[in-house]
Amino acid sequence: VKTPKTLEIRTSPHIGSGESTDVIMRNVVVAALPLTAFAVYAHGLTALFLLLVASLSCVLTEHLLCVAAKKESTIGDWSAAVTGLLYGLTLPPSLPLWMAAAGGFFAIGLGKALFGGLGYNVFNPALVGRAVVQGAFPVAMTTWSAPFWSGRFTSMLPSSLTLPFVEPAYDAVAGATPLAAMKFDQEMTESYDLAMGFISGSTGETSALLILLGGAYLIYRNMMNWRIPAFIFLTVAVLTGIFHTLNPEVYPTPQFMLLAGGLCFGAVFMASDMVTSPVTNLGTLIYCIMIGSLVVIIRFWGGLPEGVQYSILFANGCVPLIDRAIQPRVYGTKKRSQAA
Amino acid sequence: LRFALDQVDLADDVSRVFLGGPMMGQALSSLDIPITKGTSGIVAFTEKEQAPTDQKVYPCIRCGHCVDACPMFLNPTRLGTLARNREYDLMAEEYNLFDCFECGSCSYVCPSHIPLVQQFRVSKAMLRDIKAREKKAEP
Repeated sequence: VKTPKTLEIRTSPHIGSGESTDVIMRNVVVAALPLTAFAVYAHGLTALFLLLVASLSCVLTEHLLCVAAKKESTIGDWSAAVTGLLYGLTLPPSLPLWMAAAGGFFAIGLGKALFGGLGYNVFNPALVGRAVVQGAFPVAMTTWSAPFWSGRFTSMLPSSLTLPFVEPAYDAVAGATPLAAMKFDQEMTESYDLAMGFISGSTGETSALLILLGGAYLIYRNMMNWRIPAFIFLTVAVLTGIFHTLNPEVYPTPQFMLLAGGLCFGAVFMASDMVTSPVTNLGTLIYCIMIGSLVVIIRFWGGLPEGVQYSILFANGCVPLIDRAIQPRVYGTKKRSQAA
Repeated sequence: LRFALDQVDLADDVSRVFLGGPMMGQALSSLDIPITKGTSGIVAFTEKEQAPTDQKVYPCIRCGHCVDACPMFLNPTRLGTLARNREYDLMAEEYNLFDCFECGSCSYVCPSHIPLVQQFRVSKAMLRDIKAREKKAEP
């Protein structure tokens, strides 16, 4: 007779899918790496240090706030690194580094820790950080250096190294973004340049191709809801298409709207943030239409050339309402139309 | 059951045994039980094969995987939040807790390793307990 061995008792289910939050977060960083590489290639050391400062300031803030709250440090779940990198990719390359660090502090502190950390934040922390920097330093945030300047790998833009609280000095390499050129000078940029990223803009938003590549990777790994970028692109394309057909002299073509500015980056990396987007598919649709139409409204009739950031933040704010109003229909119950 | 596992040379090194499937099966504390007509399957894990028990639980990141997975189209992410806050009545009335048949899909897909279905079982038991007490208290 064999001696009875102790069997461990657990409640079902006895297996797991093997997915994990930190793995998802790590993969978002992986998806953003091609973009990061392109940003460093286009802007040289300036972008490299900007992204490093942005990421490190977020991770450091997260760690320090956890220590201050006497909680276990949560930097191991990689969510702060994701926030930091995405935040850095939305900044203009010539931004002084101390401003980037300050924004990183606000991104985590105001955007995330204040709400209770990962999963409880209402707004996308990376965009909160960017909005704070844009509100505080509007000039620095709208001065764009031209990409591919010679000597970018050996020296940095002088404005990057500006001391805190000193007005940054800009030299003449500034170039207008395609959206600003469209809005203020009625100039159009070629779609090819937009898709490949041979344009001025934030460090990570210029190459639509690499953004979509990163998005495709996340969708393939089932770590992003493909509906979010798809519906946003569709909304913007349809709305712009209507206006362009009505008056092609005033309104740009749909392909220009899709490829220019931060729309690609915002739709793929920002709007699709799991924490700040709805959980149901119908809710996702409403959320995306909201973002898409706000982008079009702000870009066409608003005072700013770019509206992706505020559109997403506004839609983020509506997500708790959307999720409360829209519940999945329980199996076996009647459809809403039939129940009425 | 020991006889059955002996046939595949497993009885000595299993660490967890379940009657039924891996998703809803009942864990056993002993191998010395009979196999009955109702035994639909036996799942045995050795120490190496079993799922890790000490997985770190992260906060819910609202990814919606559980909402997609639920075969009853319930809202496990909301139910989970309510269970943690002990809002049992709200769970039953607004979010159809008693339509959950404990298939375990929500816990399976959760990337934050939140024990959702386990929380729902506890919530149901609490509700039943409250109901029974109320019945007893009636004159």
